Amino acid sequence: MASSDSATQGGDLPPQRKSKEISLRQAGERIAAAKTVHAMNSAMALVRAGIRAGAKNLTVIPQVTSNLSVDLLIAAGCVEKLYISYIGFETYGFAPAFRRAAEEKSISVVESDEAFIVLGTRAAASGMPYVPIRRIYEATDLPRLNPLLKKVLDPFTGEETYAIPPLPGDVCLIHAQECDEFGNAQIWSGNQQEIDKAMASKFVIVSTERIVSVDRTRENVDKVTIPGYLVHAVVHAPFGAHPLVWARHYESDTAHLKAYFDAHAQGKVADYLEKFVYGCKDEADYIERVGVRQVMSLMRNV
Amino acid sequence: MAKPADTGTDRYSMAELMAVEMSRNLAVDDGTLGGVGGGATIPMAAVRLAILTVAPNLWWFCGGSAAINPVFTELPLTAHDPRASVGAEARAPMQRTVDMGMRGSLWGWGFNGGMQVDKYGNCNMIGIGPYEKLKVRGPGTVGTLWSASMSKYYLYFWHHNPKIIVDKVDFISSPGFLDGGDSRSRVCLPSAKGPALVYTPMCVMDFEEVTHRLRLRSVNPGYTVDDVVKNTGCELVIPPGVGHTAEPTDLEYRLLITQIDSRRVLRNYRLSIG
Repeated sequence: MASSDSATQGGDLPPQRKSKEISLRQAGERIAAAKTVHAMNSAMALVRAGIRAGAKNLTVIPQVTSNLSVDLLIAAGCVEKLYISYIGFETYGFAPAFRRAAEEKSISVVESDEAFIVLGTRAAASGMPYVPIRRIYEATDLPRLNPLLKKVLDPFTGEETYAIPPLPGDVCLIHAQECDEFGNAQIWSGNQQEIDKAMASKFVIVSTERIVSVDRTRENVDKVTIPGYLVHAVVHAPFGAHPLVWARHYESDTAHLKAYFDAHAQGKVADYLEKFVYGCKDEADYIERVGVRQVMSLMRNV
Repeated sequence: MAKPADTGTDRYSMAELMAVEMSRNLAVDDGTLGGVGGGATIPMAAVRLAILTVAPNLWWFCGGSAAINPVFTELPLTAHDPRASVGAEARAPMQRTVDMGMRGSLWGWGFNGGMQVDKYGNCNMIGIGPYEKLKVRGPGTVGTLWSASMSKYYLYFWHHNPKIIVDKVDFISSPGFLDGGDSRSRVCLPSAKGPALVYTPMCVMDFEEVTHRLRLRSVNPGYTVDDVVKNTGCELVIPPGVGHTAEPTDLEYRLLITQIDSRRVLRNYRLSIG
């Protein structure tokens, strides 16, 4: 038979599966070309790359509790509009760039909450035109402050409900512990907000602590939280969540976070951004500036 | 000026006392599911202690880490620290958590906080001042809106002063008893009981049964009724003979520092008065 002949005689090789790996710089350019961004907190290397690439006038839909990834984008002047659920550092206090920008009105805020972001993202992920929820928002000031919450009548009961609109994104930024070059990604110890964010977005970028072989993905298929068919680009970014905690890899870098807060308190954010974002030619340079010893000291008890 | 909260003794810190008192009051929730979220260091310790002492059948959800019934011995600062998922029995994705809240059943209780709370237990996470020109922009509502609207919950605060406990919040981001009386039940489901207790570094408060006004329940060691009144920005209902919050027992304290908070995070946890 012809096919076995060509195989035995070394004819055309079977088609090769295509890798989705791109460079961090290319990822930054994708982010800078976007309008609306779904961002996971830990995608810090991607956020830094987006800032370096000149991202501007972004609309950001963050995790329901967000912190540095969004605050840094605001500090660098990349954000026009933020869908807020929570942004802050919990026991460490307010998000400094967000607070200043919101008070000075240099960004606009859509006064949302956890349900608004989760259900609006799900609507975009699943093609629902909107998600109706009970009247509970009536008991709060949110309907007055958020014009996107609209009243609709339930066609089955005639009762008033509130409609949450779909929240689609142009790009979605995710950091993974492990991901193969085809985009099958493992995110450990999270609450899986990334899956709807990915499905709600046109272009999904997964940066990863390690790029693993697809054989290794197959070994741990129960740990794969994002199937590769949802992913458009994979970026190798070790320490890509720094200075935030990253499960099974490194502890939160409280000294670095303090330096970030201090830079805000002392009006030296531009210096921080120059040293740790604009001035870094790549993430290896970033880690060297943070300090290899400092980063190694974080790799315990997590 | 704000001063660190002081129990007046070296035997336990105010954060440790708060965790112990919270744990005792979870006995009534035994067998139900609840949860904690961002910044919930003290409530996380309390839930673990309650399971070891008074409520072995609690189910609890640990916010950002998605963990159900974790058994960490190193108390995390926040529910989204991966440490908060150590020893979990199951995981609950965020979408399922919001679903449970929106259903208005399944979810029994939670711990919420805020920048401001008023005499009816309404909380504000949005900001201080007129919305068009906020003096302080708050961090946002998170899951406090649905959890406060759809269930019973506990409130806790890191600071006790007249700017935090106020007569009327600037914005309602999570509903307490709204304008008091039956105003809450006209909007929220009757099964969603609203705020049950309020924990601060100075005292424990609850709400009068009919008017639903904030009422002093016990004063934490180190302080007096007078101290509480002076540091509270709204009128409090003060029942006659209100006593002190009970000190940790030896068993409670030993379990807390050996089984739950072995790093002693709560020993120097910053809480303030004034």
